[in-house]
Amino acid sequence: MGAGDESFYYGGYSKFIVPLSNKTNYFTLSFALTAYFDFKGESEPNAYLVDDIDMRLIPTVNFGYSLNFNKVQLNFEVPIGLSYAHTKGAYVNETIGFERDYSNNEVFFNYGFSFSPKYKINNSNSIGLTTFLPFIKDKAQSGYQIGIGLTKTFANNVYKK
Amino acid sequence: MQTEEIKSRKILIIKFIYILFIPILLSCSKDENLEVIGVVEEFSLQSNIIKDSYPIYVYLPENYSYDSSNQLIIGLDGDTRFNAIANLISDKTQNGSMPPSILISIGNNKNRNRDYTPTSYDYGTGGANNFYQFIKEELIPELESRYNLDPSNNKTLIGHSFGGLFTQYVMAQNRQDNPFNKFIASGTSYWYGSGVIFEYEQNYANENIDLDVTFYNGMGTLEGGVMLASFEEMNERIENRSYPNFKHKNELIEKSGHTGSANTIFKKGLDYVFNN
Repeated sequence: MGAGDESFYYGGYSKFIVPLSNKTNYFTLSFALTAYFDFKGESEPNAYLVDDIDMRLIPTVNFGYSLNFNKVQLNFEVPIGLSYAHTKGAYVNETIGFERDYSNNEVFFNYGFSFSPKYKINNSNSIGLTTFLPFIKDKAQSGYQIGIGLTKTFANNVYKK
Repeated sequence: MQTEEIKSRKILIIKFIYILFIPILLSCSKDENLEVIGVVEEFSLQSNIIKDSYPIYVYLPENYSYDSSNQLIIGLDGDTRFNAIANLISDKTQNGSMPPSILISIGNNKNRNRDYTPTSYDYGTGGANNFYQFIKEELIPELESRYNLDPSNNKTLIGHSFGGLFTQYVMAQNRQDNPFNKFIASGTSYWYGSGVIFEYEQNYANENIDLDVTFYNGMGTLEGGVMLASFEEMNERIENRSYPNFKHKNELIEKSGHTGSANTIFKKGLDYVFNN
């Protein structure tokens, strides 16, 4: 990692998806919550963070369209919501000889584009990838996201027909 | 039948929402374009000190004076930041908030880890002193031969990230032959070398009782713990030196990360150093 490189963050997401029709391909409305964390920062052996929290909490409403091809499902969504940034902790620099607390909390508008291809294991379960491309200018507010997911289907009228 | 109508309405609503947000989606940010009033030039300068060649980007604003001396502003990371700073200076020139000046941006960004770092470390090879000598002994004399420059040591240095580190490194050099007296540091890499820039600041303070410069220091609020804490520590330390002729403003740029804060800091920094 060099100067100016944005950090890798790690976290999880959950999403509740409502299909808006019984057609093979259909519009969707979903509600998602993503949380991710920077566990490392720029810590070094003699200049390190203590009790560091650096996280984003991102609730969104997603407007989407789902294309279905036998066992493959391609989901395109426009998530719109917020991003809450929380940074808190202390920095200890033993080389220079200081310790200082820091704290920052901010909320941003957040929107972008999401693509989630899935593979249907059976009528109730799918596995797949999820990606999110934020359209906000400053990616530090909400960064690029890529993850793996398991989708559990609670009501599957399409396939019962 | 009624259910079908409700479904149709829902679909229409969703389609409407999509159409509503298309303009937002198309309004994504683009790279900075050069939109200036004035003259833009470029030349290459070979450094005998560093044994490397540098593209030099030049912007002569609308108020550049061909008859008398102009203030020199030097920006770092010229390959990627020249346009942004030139646009800012063009705007400021038009609203009368800048003196007659000339902007120079030094390119060859790919060697910034060599040129902007004061010591050898995991991410840099510590060539800041050579790069500083290059600016003093090769670049500025070359510029003086090409343009009408104010010869006094009142030049401005602007840098972001490693460029901010180099900016603060130069600010900690002796004042007798330092060509700069205005410094704008953005997102300074305080983490570099476990905070080695603090040692340079301390060394300067040990040997001097004044620092007659104007310094604007900016940082995005989303830069993380090491940067936020170091930024506050540096500002407090340097302010507590009580240098009689030191003018200093530090500012956190809200809702901005390391990359996103730079242009705002450049803009606010130019406002500050040319109005104090």
